[in-house]
Amino acid sequence: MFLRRRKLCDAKNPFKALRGKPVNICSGRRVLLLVPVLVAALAFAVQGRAHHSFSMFDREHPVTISGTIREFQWVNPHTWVQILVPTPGKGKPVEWSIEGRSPNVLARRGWKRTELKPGDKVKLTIYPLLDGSPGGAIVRVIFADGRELNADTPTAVDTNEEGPRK
Amino acid sequence: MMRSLFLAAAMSGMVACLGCVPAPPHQATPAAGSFDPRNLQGLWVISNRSQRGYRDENLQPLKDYLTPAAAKTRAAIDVALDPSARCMTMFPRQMGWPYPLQIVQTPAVTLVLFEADQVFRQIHTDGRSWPDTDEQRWMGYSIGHWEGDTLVVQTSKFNPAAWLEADGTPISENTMITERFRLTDAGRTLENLMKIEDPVVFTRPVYRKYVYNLRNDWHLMEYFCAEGNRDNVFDQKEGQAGSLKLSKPAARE
Repeated sequence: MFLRRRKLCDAKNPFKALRGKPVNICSGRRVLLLVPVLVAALAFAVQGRAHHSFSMFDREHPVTISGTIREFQWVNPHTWVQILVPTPGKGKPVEWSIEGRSPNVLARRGWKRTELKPGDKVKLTIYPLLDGSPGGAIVRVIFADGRELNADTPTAVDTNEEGPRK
Repeated sequence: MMRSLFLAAAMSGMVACLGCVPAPPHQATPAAGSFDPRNLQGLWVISNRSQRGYRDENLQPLKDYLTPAAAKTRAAIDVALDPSARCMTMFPRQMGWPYPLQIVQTPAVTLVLFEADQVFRQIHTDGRSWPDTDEQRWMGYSIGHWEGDTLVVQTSKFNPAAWLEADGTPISENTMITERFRLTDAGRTLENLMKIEDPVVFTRPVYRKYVYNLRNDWHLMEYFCAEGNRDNVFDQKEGQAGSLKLSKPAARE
């Protein structure tokens, strides 16, 4: 079990070291993708991350990325969108790991398990990781036909003050 | 709804097996003026009218309440080693999570079924006292009684490996947490006034308020934190948690 989880972590870890240079985000904002060595990335992962904490995201500066869905992981405690983002100066698209609220929270907001399918071309508005690596927290999905799906902000409390209380 | 009914039926059946009185039938949300103030049953969701977490009900930072020893413990802690990062659940943190909880009442025991990690609390209301045991619990041991229309619950016997908050604020074995549950708003709101007393950790009692909205139009969903947990620190750090790291996969065979 640990083996499997570890493999998952290694393959999709948003703190994975990059060989990147500055890339263009389609909003036009340039994000410096630093080049942390793996050890440094892991050190950050240990020091900067607390379970269910969103402190590692830049909530002041949301950006929009554009790409092709590789995988939508509909799992607790958090959903993950793995999206391949064409990046100027890079030979192949860069894979971003976008963390979202739990399936339970999203389902109660009207999302479906099959909302995002591999191959779908979408724009994602995200709060990017502060360390510049290709990851973030999802804010909303903008589909090719212009439809938008709100993922809510990761800091809001799910209270349903506004919902029906039958 | 079917699932929650099934769950409630299953749990009340379980209680019956232990010799308790069967649960009353699941109640629909009461109309105004007709609710039973002692019937707390239903699906409840935490409200942002709550006052909890790192500040007390007067919005004073919890860290100002710490004894020198507890402050030292908290300062030395690496928040990445939060037990919840390896999917442990603990009281009272569980009471404020953004996932519903379902209350199922019988005369002898009130069950709080949490969606998050599918754990539960048993609040014994059969008049028993504290068990004569050195058992320690992440969720504590709870006994309760009614004072008028308020269910008063005391919880203690904690496992000190648990954290009171995600910043590493500790909890000690003999922390005494008193909750006063009361229905308001014609039975559509559940208030839980919480008092935390812990001479080891705090210099004075900490008061909080948890407020829940009734959502009987929902059902408890499945939630297993271990399913997709990328925050697990076992494979990120040498030493403490890393001691469980699989350095020799063959050893598992």
